Amino acid sequence: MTQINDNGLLMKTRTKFKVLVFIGLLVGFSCTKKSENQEVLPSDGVSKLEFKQPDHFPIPTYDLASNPVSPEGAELGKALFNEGLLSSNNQISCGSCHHQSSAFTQPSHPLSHGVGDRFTLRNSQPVMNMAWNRTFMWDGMVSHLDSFSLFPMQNHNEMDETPSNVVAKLRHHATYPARFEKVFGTKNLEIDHVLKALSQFMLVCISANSRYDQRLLGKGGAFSADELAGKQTFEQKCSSCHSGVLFTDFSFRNNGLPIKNKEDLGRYRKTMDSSDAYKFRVPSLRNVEHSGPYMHDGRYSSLEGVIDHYRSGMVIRSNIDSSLVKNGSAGILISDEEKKNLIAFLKTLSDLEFLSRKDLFR
Amino acid sequence: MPFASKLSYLFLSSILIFSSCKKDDDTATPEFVVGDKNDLTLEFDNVAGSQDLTMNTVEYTNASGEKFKVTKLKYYISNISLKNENGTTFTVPQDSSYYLVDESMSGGGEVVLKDVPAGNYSAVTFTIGVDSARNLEVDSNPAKVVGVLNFGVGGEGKEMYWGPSSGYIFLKLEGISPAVDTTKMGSSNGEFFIHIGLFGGTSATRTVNNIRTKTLDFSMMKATVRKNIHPELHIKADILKMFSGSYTLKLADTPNMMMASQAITSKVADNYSDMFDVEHVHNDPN
Repeated sequence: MTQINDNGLLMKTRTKFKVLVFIGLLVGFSCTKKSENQEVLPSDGVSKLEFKQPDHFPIPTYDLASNPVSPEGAELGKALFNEGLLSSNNQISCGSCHHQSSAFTQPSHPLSHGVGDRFTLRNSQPVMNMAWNRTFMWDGMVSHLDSFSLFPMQNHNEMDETPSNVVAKLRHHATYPARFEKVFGTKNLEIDHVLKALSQFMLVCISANSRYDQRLLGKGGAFSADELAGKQTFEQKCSSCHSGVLFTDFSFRNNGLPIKNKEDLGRYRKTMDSSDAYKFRVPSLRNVEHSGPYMHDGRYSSLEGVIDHYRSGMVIRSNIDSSLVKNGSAGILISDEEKKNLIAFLKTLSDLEFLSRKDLFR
Repeated sequence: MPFASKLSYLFLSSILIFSSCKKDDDTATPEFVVGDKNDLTLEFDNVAGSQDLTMNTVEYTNASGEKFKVTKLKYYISNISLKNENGTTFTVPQDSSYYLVDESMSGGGEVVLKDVPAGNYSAVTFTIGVDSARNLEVDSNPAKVVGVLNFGVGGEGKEMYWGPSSGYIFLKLEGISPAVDTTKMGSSNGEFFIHIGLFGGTSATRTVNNIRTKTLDFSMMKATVRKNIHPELHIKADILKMFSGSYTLKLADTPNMMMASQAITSKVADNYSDMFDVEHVHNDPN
């Protein structure tokens, strides 16, 4: 866990991390210019989409050697991400429910809607920093990025299409076969190629340049008093789950939400272990200002609503997370002042470069 | 008093009233010279039948007897032109011709047209939604995606856009109704979602075309733009008409319609193209 003191300098960290961050500081300075240049495609029109390891991030869980990211591959993935042909009515793309300006979620949609305007089971999650994810979806149903896209593709309420139909449509398309040949060496594309191309695009969707990051790396403006106070409250009261530089420990927890949809048993759907019922993934809080509505079913439309839930809205069930219960009652003690400051701090996690980079927009 | 003389009294008094009105009108519409201009405001006032629309709290009843509350109402008005009684037409410049009416914002229904040439206007024409050309320009000319059309970070059109072939959402009406089956996914509190868009699609993916254009005649009232007069057209939009008209929309049957409900959305678009009426015109000095 890293912390910044009032001067914005790094203090208490584990030694290993200290070294890493120090290197990060050095590299961070030299990188400033480059990341600014990423905002628009270069004037020669040549894609510069690439996987670039942020200096202050851990080693990715995704095996990049198994699917080396190339600009052509990521561009192909971006085209597929926005391609309606991946759905049975040729209309719904990944991009339909994952808008870049909302950190690749869908604004003002508690649930999204797919083919037949059927609602999805859950709130659409951000597509960002996928290389560091350990599992995917709110229940961690999928453990590899390359198989992840198969789920929305085949889900009845989402794209409702079969992989073989997708392959057939893309093979007969005017331009896709040549693009696949360029990236994978074959015009005779298979579903694996589609999935790997999609992964390449998702891998380059890296958000690591928020004001928080800039501060961590010793650049950018100082935090305001509210933001600093919010940061302290966050570290005391939130960071046991929303931990580390990715603001999640990737665990599944019951956070005391009153049950709205009994059918959605959360993590239990994967493990079939009754102690996992109604547990959901701890989401990253990067870009949280822009990725509402919140929770797995999008029940809260504002960050105020989310914090109020943790203050006074939780209900106790047998497997509620122990960190949320004190002396038999559920609730985190957060004053109105702390709530206001927490939100100010959370907004420092917004990465406007990521949300508006033109080269990530179809 | 015999009926005939009653009638003549009525007639006489109406002549008196009319002539006095005429005089008022004459003083309120002074001469103007070419080159004079002023703003003209279209004020979209959303109502439910005879009641002003109040969000979240007041319950309304549609033609099928279904009760509902409104939690969101937003729609695009674009491609606006004004018919001058001299036979000419003033067309608002394309890039200034996109407005988003938002019931949740105070002043969210005010469409202020800038620099309208002085004259007497008798009709207004507008599109409910966003034309196909501008939808396609999202990809071909992104510099045009600004103002209310900007669905980027913090953009005013943020929640009014679907994607390349489905384009902008023209109109959103959301609310809660006891008529909606609460076991339906997404409707656990009886929520309904009417999202209407679709501009015809791209060459790769065709869709229905739900762009509707409406002309409202107010030649009986006239908007008199003068150097010192900034007319305001009060346009009522009666959302109850979305539920009736050539198609009867029942929330119980269709609590949500979005980009995939092409056939039904076209019928509702037909309905709502008839929900607008000019109620009155203010020709007040500015």
